Amino acid sequence: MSIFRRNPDPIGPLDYARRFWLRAIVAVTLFFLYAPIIGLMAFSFNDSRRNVVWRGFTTDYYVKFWNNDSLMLAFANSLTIALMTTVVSTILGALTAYVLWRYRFPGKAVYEGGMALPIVIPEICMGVAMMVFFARIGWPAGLPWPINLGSITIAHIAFAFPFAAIVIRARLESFNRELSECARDLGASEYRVFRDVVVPHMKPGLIAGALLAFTLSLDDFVITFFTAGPDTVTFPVKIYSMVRFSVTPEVNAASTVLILVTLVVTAVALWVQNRNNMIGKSAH
Amino acid sequence: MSDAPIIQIKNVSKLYGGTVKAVDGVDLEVKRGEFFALLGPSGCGKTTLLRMLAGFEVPTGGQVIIDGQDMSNVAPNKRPVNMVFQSYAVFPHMSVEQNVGYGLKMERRPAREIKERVAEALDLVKLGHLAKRMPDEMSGGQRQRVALARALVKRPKVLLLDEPLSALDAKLREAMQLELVRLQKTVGITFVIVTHDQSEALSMANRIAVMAQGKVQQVAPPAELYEMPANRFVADFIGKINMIEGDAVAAGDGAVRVTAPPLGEVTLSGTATGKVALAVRPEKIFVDEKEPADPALIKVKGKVGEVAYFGSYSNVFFDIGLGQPLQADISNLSRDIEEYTFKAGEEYWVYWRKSDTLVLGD
Amino acid sequence: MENWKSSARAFWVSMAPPTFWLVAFFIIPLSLIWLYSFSSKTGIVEITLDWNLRQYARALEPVYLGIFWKSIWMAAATTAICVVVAFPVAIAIVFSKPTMRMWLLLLVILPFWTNLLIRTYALIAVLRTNGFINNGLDWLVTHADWLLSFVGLGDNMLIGPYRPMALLYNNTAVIFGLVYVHLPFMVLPLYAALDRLDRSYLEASLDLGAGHFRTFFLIVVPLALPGIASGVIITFIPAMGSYLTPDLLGGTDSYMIANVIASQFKQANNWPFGAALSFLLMYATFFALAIRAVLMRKEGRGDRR
Repeated sequence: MSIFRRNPDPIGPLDYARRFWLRAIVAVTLFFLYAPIIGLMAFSFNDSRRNVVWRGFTTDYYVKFWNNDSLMLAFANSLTIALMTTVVSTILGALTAYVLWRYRFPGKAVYEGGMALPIVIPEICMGVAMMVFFARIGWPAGLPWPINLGSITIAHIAFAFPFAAIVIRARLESFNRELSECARDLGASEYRVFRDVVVPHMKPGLIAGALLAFTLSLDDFVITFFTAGPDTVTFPVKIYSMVRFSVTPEVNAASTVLILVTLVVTAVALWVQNRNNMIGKSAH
Repeated sequence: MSDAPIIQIKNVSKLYGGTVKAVDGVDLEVKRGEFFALLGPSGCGKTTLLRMLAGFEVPTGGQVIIDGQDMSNVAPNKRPVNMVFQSYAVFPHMSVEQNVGYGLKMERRPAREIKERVAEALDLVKLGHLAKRMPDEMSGGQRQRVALARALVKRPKVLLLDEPLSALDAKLREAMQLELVRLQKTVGITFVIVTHDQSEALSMANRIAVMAQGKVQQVAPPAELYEMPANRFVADFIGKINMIEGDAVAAGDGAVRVTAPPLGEVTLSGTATGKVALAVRPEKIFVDEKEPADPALIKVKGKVGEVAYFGSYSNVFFDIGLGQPLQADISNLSRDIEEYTFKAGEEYWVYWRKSDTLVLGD
Repeated sequence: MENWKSSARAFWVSMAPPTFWLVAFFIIPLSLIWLYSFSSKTGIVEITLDWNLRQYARALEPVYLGIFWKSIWMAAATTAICVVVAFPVAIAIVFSKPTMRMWLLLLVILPFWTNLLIRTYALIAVLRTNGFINNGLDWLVTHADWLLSFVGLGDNMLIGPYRPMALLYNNTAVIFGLVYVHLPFMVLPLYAALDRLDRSYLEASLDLGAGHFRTFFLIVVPLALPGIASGVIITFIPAMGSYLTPDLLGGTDSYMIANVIASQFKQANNWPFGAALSFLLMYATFFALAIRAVLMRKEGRGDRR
């Protein structure tokens, strides 16, 4: 009998996840996805300009990054644009989601399709369109900071708010419409219902949408690249010019900082969404 | 060889996550050509056991032998058994014909043979005229017939059926029960069916294994299961039964003397001693205004409580001074409504034969 | 859902701002280059709208058709590699225990959230002449040679010295990069499609005598086909429109359509032609999306039965 007791949990015919070759493929794929990024982050601490052989730990390149005025300005530009984009995109996204969720109106399908356009069209097309647009209307150059970031911010909002709208609308789907009817019944005005009943329910969606807009704006390169002027360089555009120029540990350090910022924001977004799902589940 | 059981299950266990025992040391034998049912409440391990026969679950311990061959290292696709799934699992992207022919194609049979055998199998389940249909154009009952034909066309040594009737409505289910019995007789293949519905098992199977908590409680033909349940669980699970708690001591010669407060002391044939339950089926209980004299009866005075009228019989609950009432099914044998009307509070003598009484140990 | 007329004021108040933004800063810019695509360049900066199709005609010249073809070909190769890699990964995720499944999904999605530029840059460090791959191989060869010297075959008699391979700035590097960037796009739809698949179909197939491979090709693939198609299109569209990956990893002959569009707007300064190319790329995108919509509707119908 003992030979049948070798494995306390034998592998069944459909336990594909426990087959060796499938596990190997998953492991190799994850290595393929993560090794370059982790390598990049690790070598930002490498004490060598040649950047290929490990020469010891250093944080010199972070100090250099800190003291590099043009990099820091680009970083500040990126954060400013991302913050402005976040605020406006969240508001516009919430309104879009609310309209699409609440109303029936003629041409709704076309309207929805139009709202999805910025998500689906190739970035390059949107980038050149924004470039032509700002050139054509004669957007003034040389404005004082931070107003000179206006054109990039406008472009970022245009592609970020439809994403925020999707996230917020998903949250609204779980809203019990009887609640707003009940509030109306109890004498609340249209605006009070929105403020007192709908917005509190939307809140996790608003947070998730805001974080999404923030990361989208912070990460965008292509559209920014075509809208940015010489005095409005963002962090990714600056990194791009450094990458084109040479591969140095400073770029690694700058990249690591950007990765960490995005990672933190994403973690918060996932956490909010997760919590929000759990609240949703317990409420039903 | 042909007298040897077609399925032997020897001390089979299945643990999930190393701790949860879904199947716990089961020993079973299924005879050739039998219609065998695995019956039990949900979570009793019956489906796991069936899936181990099919090969979808690998036993943690023990041995499954089908037709003399150890199945321990045999993959599901190499086993001489076929299964009818609870959801039927009729491939939605294949026509009826292609579904039924799938298994033969896997055996790389010649096209002509496949065509003949598919037609034959479809005739067997009376679907010959729907061979070209797609599954989404068929009713649930028809899809089940496809699933049956698809399994039978492979001429398996054993056909496994996982709750095959649970998705059908009541009327269709009854018709299908008869159909399955007819089919089994026609093809002569051993059927093993899993069900939680006792009437399904009692009406179809030659033998039934009652399972609970991963263990087999009793294996017996339907009538034996009903009239001679091996323990409290089986007695309670199959049909309705009254149980009166008592203490038993051996009285020699295959008899026990049971002391059960409202009944006094009775000597009955049985073997269980210690804490026992005296069990009697409601339809074996009689009621009279006068005290019966026959010494072969167990009798007790009872007061009528709830009465439920079912037309052919009434289910009457008598208070006999126990925590729970004694229920009796009184057949309405004549059209005299007065005679069969029980009013709450009336007192009657309630009695049954000693030979109808079971002494059940734990 | 209520009719907009039932509270028209609230409807207009909430609808106006996003609609304004979409029209002013998206629809109008796009319309502008749409108009440009029918215009002629009449001077260094002057562009005249004369409704001609010359820009589109020029896009059909062999040079540009070739680049279109190359973009499609590269995107197709990327998509094919992604399908082959993502399928086993998706299967492994679907058949994992629930907690494990959540972590694996998170691990697959996470690179999504890392900046595209940084991921591409990370690949440069892997692929360049003294990058991780070449240095790793150099190390291996040097040490293998050192081991061989014990049996008297050292000093590069059998192997080496290692000559670094040119892994960067060619089409292979671009496809490698595109696969790296787009793999999550493929894993997720495949995962969703396989997750929807009723497992008893697989069991029934095994039960009827099919092995794992025949079950995969005869049951899993046909039943998951709408999901596979959706993943293919979702991967293909952004891969075809990629700008950054060919720009940073490609060589002079690795230009994809987005790079040509960019150069028309920047270096070549031929906006009408760039606009025409942009719209051709957009039409191709819409075409692919339409195919996906049709397939999804078909799948939706299949689910309801």
